Amino acid sequence: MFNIAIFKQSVRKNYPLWLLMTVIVCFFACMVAYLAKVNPSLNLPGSPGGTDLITIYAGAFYDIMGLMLILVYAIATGIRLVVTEVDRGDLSYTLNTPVNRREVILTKVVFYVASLLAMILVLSLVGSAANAIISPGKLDYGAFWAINGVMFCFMFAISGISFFASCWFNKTGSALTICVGIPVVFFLFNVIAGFGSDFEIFKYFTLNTLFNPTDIIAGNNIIADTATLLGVGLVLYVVGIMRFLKKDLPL
Amino acid sequence: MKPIISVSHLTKDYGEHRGVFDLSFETRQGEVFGFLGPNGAGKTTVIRHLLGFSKPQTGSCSILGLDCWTQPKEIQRHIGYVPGEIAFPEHLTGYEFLEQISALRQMQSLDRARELIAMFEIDARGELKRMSKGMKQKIALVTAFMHDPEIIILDEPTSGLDPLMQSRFIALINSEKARGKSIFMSSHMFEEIEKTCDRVAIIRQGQIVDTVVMDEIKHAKRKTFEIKFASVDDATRLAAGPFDVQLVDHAPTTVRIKLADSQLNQLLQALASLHVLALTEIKYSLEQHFMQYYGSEDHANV
Repeated sequence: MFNIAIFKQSVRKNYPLWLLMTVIVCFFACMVAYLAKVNPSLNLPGSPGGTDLITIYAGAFYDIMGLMLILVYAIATGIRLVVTEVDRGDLSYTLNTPVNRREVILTKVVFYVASLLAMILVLSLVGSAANAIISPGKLDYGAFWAINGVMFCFMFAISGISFFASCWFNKTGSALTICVGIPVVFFLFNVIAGFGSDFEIFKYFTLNTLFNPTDIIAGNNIIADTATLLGVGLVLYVVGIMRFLKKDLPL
Repeated sequence: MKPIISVSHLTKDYGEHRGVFDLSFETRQGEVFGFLGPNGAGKTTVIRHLLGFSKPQTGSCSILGLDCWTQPKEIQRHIGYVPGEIAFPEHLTGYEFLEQISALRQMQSLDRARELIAMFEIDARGELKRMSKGMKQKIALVTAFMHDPEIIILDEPTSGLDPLMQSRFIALINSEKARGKSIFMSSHMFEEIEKTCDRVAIIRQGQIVDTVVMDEIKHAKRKTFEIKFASVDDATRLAAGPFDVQLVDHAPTTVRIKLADSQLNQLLQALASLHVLALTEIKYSLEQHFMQYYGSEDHANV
């Protein structure tokens, strides 16, 4: 069910973007620690009221910057992994060897999820190390890792959309519309939902509300939210795999 | 004898008369089987089913008795395939690509690949995307042949090759055939089919209209000759004889005559007393045979 040659092929094809995004996201995580050191009374835009370092992370890093970079990797890789190969036709060479579709798609899923996990793990380690060196004793490490853990669940759900679209369509363009469009709409709805109680209903149409660093710092119960993210991701992955196994490939 | 490829009542309807309809054929061990038809006749559709990329609506396809849709992995151990459209992964050199495929095939050595690379004069060190169409086509041929498969499936294999490489390709097919390989080849080029195939299925609008044994075309029992005489009088005299004679409209001194091999002496005797300027055999070709099924208006597309 797992094919090491296909895994290597996926690593080789996708590591440049992975490396680039991981380096940039780690750089920003270190920058936050550095800025907090040189300007202890720092109050970054968007950080709700506190100079507490983890709150600054929640406002300045997990709100847009850090999230976006990982999201770009997730969407681009989801597309490149399946639909681009179908559309271009080079998947034909892989399938003309003694591997079946199930091995191909399951190995790609393993690579995809593992690469997201690895990126967030590296971010957690580098972020922790940077803070321990630059501004020791200021960061709530438990909350930092918890936020990263839930962010992985969020990325799992978003990558599920990308993967699903990648399996469902045979044209890169159609798949891109879905897996760029939906996350953008999620961000918009999340912003609209913040406009006030009149617009609160929008929060039910976006996954972004389920990843809320402020809730995690406050110690609120986030089990249901996190389980929903994992559940959505799982369903999308399963449906995507089923579709890929059953459809006619235009190769 | 057990068939190599067996397609039985295959139907795949894409609408607007596109697709294949209740199509059946079998190929035999050691045979080069040609699949001849213009673009859009359904050749690639059949090949997609053979490779397990498409699921039949009705009917079935099997190779070596294994079902193409449910057992592609087992089948792939025995076949090599050259796709009609060459699309390689980006950012790989020729060698890196061949290594990747050999890893997927769990091949022990690249010796055969090196032989083929030498035979086709390929420089596989360069990046695939910078290669010319002909060079890519050669890499695709190496990919299909390098694991020495028993069965080879080719979808319009020589498009993109220059005439020299086309003849080298024909030599490769004939040597693989001599080694006992079974080959299935779709094409719209009469010449490569005539030079390589044992049997040819002619496909039209998703159906096989005829299956031809190439030897019967090459050694037809009835031959056609074109004879040019010095005078109209001579032409008329021959036409009055016991032969199946057609006068050629625009050249009154020329006749076409169809006859069985056994009538050859009789013809020579008749000609002895006439003044003959030229005598040419009109070869019956696959192209002429093919045109019985496709009107001349389709010719441009073939």
